[in-house]
Amino acid sequence: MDRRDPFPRRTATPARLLPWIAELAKTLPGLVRSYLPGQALDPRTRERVILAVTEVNGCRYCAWIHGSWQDFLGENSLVDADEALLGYARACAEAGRPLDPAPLTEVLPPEAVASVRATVAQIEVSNLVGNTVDGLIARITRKRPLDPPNAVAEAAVVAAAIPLAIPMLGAGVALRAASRLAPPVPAPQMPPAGEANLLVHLLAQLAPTLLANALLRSAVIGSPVVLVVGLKAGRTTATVRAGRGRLALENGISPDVVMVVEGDVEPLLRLASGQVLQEARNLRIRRP
Amino acid sequence: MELKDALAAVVGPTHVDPAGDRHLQDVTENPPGHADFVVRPETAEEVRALVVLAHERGIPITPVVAGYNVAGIAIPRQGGVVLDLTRMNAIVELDREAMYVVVEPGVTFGQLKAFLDAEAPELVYTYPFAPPFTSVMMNALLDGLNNLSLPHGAMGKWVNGLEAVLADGDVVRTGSGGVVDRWFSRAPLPDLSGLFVSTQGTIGIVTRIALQLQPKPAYRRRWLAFAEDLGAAYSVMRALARAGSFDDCGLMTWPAAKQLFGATRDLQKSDDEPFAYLMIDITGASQGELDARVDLGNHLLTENGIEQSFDADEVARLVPALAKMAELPTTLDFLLDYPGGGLTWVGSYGPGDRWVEGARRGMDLLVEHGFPPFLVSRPMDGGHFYVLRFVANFDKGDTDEVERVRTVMGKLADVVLDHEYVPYKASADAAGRILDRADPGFVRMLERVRDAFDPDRRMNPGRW
Repeated sequence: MDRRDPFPRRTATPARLLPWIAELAKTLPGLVRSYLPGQALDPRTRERVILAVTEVNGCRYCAWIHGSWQDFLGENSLVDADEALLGYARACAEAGRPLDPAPLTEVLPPEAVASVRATVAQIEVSNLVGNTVDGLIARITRKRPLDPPNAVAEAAVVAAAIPLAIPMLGAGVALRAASRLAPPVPAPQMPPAGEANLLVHLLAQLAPTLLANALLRSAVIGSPVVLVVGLKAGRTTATVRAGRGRLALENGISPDVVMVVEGDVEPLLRLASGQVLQEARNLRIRRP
Repeated sequence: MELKDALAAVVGPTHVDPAGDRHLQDVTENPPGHADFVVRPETAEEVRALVVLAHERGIPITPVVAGYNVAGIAIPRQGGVVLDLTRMNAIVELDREAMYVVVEPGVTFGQLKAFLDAEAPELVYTYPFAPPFTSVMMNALLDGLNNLSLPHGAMGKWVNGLEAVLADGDVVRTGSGGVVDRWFSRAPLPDLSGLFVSTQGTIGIVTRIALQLQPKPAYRRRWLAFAEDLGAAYSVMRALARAGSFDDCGLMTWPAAKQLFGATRDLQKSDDEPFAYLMIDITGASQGELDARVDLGNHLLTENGIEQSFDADEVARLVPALAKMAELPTTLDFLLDYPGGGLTWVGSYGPGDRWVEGARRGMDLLVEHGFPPFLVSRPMDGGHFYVLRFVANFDKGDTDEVERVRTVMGKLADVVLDHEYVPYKASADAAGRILDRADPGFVRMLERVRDAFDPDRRMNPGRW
C-alpha cells in the first residue's frame, strides 16, 4: 500500500485483482456449485467464509449485503464452520492472494475445497471493488489526494462493476426486508410434556432451527391459512399446524392433514441443518 | 478429652462440625441417619489417626464423598463420626506406560477427566451417567458401571490395587503396589483388593486407589438408536456385545426421554413411540477401523430389527435437551432436580437369558406402584452379564409416595434376585435380601471376613 495514501483499505488494481481472477477461473465450477441445491458448502458456511474475508478487507458494502444474507438464512446450531476453513479464508485475505489450500484438503472433500477457494476469490474481488468505490469517494471528497490517473482507473473499475453491484445491492435490500418482515418463531403449543411423544418434543426443539430461514418462516408461520401437515419419522407420528402466527404440535396424524411427510428421523433432523433439498429426497410425501 | 477436641486435634478445629443434613440423608427413600460429628481429613495419616481414635473409643465411622450412591450407603446408621473425604483430592500418580492413575477418595470424575485431557490425552478413564462432582474411587469400590463397561467390565475390575486404613489403624496395601513400587495389576497375587470392592467401607477406609486407564482411540462415532420392544433391545445389545467391536451400548426406556424433555408426572407412551433408546459408542484407532465398525454396527442393528439410528453428536447439537447425554460425566438434572428431590433405584447384574423376563416383570412392578417403567441397562464385560436397573423419581415430602417407593424397591430387589440378577450398590434392605438367599457358606465367609477385619462392626455399620 502506498504509504502516502491515507486511504487504509486495499482497492482494486490489476496487480491485486489478477491472482484472484486467475483463481476464480480455475475454480469457477466450484463457485457455481456453492450456489446450487445440494451444494458441497452449505449456504450458512459459505456466508461465514464471505464475512470472514470481508472483515479482514473492511468492505462495508459486502458486509452489508452478506450480513443481510446471513440474517435471511438465520442461525443454525448444526452449522459449525470449521476453524481451519475460516482460518484459511482469513489468511488468504490478509496475504492478498490465494494460498495453498492444503489445510483445507485435510478437513474437506475436494468439491468443498473448490467451493471454498472459489468463494474466497469471488468475495476478494467484490471486496476490492467495494473498497475502490470508497477510495474514489475519498478522492472526490478530497480525503485523499485526487491523483487523476488513479482516479480514472478507479472510476473505470466502479463503472465496470455497476451492472453486478446494483443487483447485489438490490438483493441485499430484499433479503434484509424479508428478514425484518418475517414473523418470529412462536413458542409451539403442544400436549402436556408427559403426553407429548418424542417426535413432538423433537419438533418443538427443532422449530427455531427449521424455521430459521426468513422466507420459509414467512411462508409457514405468516401463512394466512393454517397449514396442517402430518409427519411420520420412523414409526412415530405428529401433526404440525402452522400459520396465522402460531405453531401447534400434536401426537399422531390428525384426520384433517393435507399431506403426510414420511421418512427416517435422520433426514428430518438434517432438514434442520439447512440441507432441505438434499434431504427432501430422503422423505416421501403422500396423501393422508 | 472431649471427642470434638480429640477430632480437632487431628484435623484442626475448622474441619470438625456437628453432623448436618448433607451428611445424614441422601436423595433416596432411606430414612435420615444420625451422627455426632463430621470430620474432614486431608491426608492418609489424618485418616489413620482418626480411625485409631475411633478404635480406642469404640466409635462407629461412616465414610462419604459426594453421597450420590443412590442407595443410602453413606448415611450413618449408628451415630459416631462421618468421615468426609472430599478434601483428599490429590491425583497421586499417573503411569502412562502401565496405563494407570492413583487417586485419593475425593478426586472427582470432572477433575480426573480434565487432568487426563491435559496431561495424558492419549489415555482415557471411563465415566458414568453421574455428575462430574462425584467420586471416582467410590464408583470403583462400589462396582458401578461406566461407559467402557461393555468391553472392560464393572468398575471393581478396573482396580489395580489400593491403600487402606483398617479398623484398628493398620495401613495396608494391595495389588502389585503392595509388593513393588508400581500399581500395574492385581495379578498375580492373592486378590486382597477384592476385599474392599462392594463391601461398602466395612473392611477399611481406602485412602488411595490405583485405577486402570485405557488408550483413547483417535476416531469416534456415537449413535442414538430406537428399539421398539424388549426383545429387540436385548437382541441388539447381545449382538453388539458379542461382536467385540463396540465401546458401549447403553439403554434407557421411554420415560427417560419424557423426563429429559421436562416431563415429571403422568408420563404416557404413545403407541407409535419407541420403547427404548440405545446409545452406542463406536471407536477406532484409524478411520478405516472406525468405518469397518460402523458398517458392522449398521448390519447388526438392521439384522436385529432396529429401524432407526442416527448420529448422536449431531442430534445433541441440534436438540439442547439431548446434549446432556452426549458427553460423560454428566449431570442429568431431570433426575436430580425432580420436584420433591427423590431419586432411587435397584440396579443389578445378571445373565442375559433372563434379561427380557426380568425387565418386563420389574417394569410391570413399577407401573403397578404408580411409577413409570424407567429401566436402564447395558451389556457388561463383553456380554458376560447385563444390567437391570429400575429407576424411580419421587417426592420426598410425600410420605405416601415415599412408602410406595420403598415398597416397590424392596419388591424389585426380590424380582431381580428371582431372575438370577444380583443388586450392586446394594442398599441395606437389598443387602438383607441378598443374604437371605445366599448360600450359607457365602454368608459364613462374609461374616468371618468381617470378624477378622472389624469384629465390633464399627466400619460403616448397618451394611451387609
